[in-house]
Amino acid sequence: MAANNNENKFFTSHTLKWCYYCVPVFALVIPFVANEYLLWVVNAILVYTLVTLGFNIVIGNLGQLAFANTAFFGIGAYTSAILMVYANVPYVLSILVSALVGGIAGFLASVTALRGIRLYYLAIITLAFGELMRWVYLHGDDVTKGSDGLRIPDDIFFLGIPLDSEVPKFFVFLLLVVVLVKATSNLMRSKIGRAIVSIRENEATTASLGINTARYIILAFVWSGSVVGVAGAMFAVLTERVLPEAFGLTEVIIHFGMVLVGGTGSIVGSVIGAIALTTLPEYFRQFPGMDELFFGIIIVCVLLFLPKGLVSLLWRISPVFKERYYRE
Amino acid sequence: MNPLLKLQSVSVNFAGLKALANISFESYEGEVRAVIGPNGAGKTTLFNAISGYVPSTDGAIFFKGEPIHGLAPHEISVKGVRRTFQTGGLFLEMTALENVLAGLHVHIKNGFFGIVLGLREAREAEREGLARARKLLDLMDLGDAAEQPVKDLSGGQQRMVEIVRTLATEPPLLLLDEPVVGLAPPMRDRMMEIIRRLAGEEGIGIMLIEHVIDLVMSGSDTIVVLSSGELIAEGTPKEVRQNREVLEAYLGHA
Repeated sequence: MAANNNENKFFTSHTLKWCYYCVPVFALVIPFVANEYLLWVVNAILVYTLVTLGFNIVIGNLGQLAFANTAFFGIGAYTSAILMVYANVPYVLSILVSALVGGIAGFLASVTALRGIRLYYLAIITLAFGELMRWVYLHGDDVTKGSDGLRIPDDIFFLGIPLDSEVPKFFVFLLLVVVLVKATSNLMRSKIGRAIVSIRENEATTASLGINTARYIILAFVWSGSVVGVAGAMFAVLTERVLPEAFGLTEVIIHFGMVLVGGTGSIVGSVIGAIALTTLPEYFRQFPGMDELFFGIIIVCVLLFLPKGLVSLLWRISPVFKERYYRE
Repeated sequence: MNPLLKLQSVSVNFAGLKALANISFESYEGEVRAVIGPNGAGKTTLFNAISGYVPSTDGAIFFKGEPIHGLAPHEISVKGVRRTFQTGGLFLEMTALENVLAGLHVHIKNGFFGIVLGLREAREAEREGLARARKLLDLMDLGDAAEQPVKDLSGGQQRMVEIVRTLATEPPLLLLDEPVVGLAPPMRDRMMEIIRRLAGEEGIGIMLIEHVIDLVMSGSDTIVVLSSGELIAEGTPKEVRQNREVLEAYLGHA
């Protein structure tokens, strides 16, 4: 084994791995101690974990200012809802289709980046894509029910489990989050993850190493779109009514805030960002009219004092928390 | 011996401005070929044209007898022509180890599904790559720096990481753009030694752009002299040193 420059030899990347595995196991206790409302918040955290996880790949790892995330989110939510409402498709299948359609939307977004549209041009074009999709939800009355929103059926089952309260939703959401976080982690700690990050660092050099940069730009966007598409399908079941207003510009700011507050380019950061910016605004709801203010203050403070996000607090405890793009 | 690289009257125009005019030469396996010339002579443009970063306006480039002009940079790279850049080619936020692993990318044989699902073969391929990257860094005395982000390393170490990363790709032809720039003299000599060893022992064809004339004269087998986009001389260090035109265009002012 090569030299490990961690001072604390008891806390190695190996122990950390097992700590991460324990997190979802401990989370299983939550439904037994939380009330219905708190559990709803936890479920929202699980949805936003995937939203941030997917967004972070494009923003943090690939380093592209593409804000089509709300579009992926909305497309996932509407795909799942439409399939369940009109075609009686089982929820599991609708999740898979949401991932697929989200991936296709991700591919479309990647085409703009591949055509050399970058930086603020990419930002504005992807924001426009999000707004265009919102227009589609609003005006696709026959299917989407416009601004009234599309109500999903009451009797939704996930592989035979009725999703009639927050408890079963929690277990299903937790399963989806664990699977996708693990899969994303596998991807990022492989040659695929390294190729994506090296494109962010220097695209020309990446190509000079024989790496097909276009392939990995597409892959990052498609994976991002799929993960966020699944989050959309979860959101549909969480809120029980899919509304166009849930996928507007404010939502973009929330997603972006979660990525920045958690830590760009970090999977653990995505989880932390989703937890922080789901719970705190929920807490500040008791101060009506002030809640947006608090939301803004949190983002400003974190970025001012912890520019690398809340995850950088963990790096101070031990360097093993720094995510690496390979597996020991 | 068949040439590794063959340029046939290659020209590059930038909006009517001739950056390279009618360049022809051949380079061989195991040969260290230096490209020298005053600033703006077209040295880096020549590298860009060979590696596909700048389209050649005219002429043909063959690598191992195959035409490579008109291909995309990564396609040329996959064929085995690898290059380093004058400035900032490193992935600064990544560690030295990750940089070298990126160089090994095409040698790590695993696919998307194997990686996502964490299959054993896919992980085995990654592990082999990791061991190889560590070995390469150790070879260059960079073992201790492996886990550090490249931005925290010294200029000399960064240069070494970049060369190691390019070497990791095991290219038949290596284009080095000012490999020793910014290095202290002892490190320069060491780097040249490594370059010579790569050519001599591994049979890698090496082309390098260099301004330190002493190094070029002592370290290269062949020298190509460019001036205002034209090839004005080609030969052994001794021949070039005695070439009148070169003395006037370049060395005379040095």
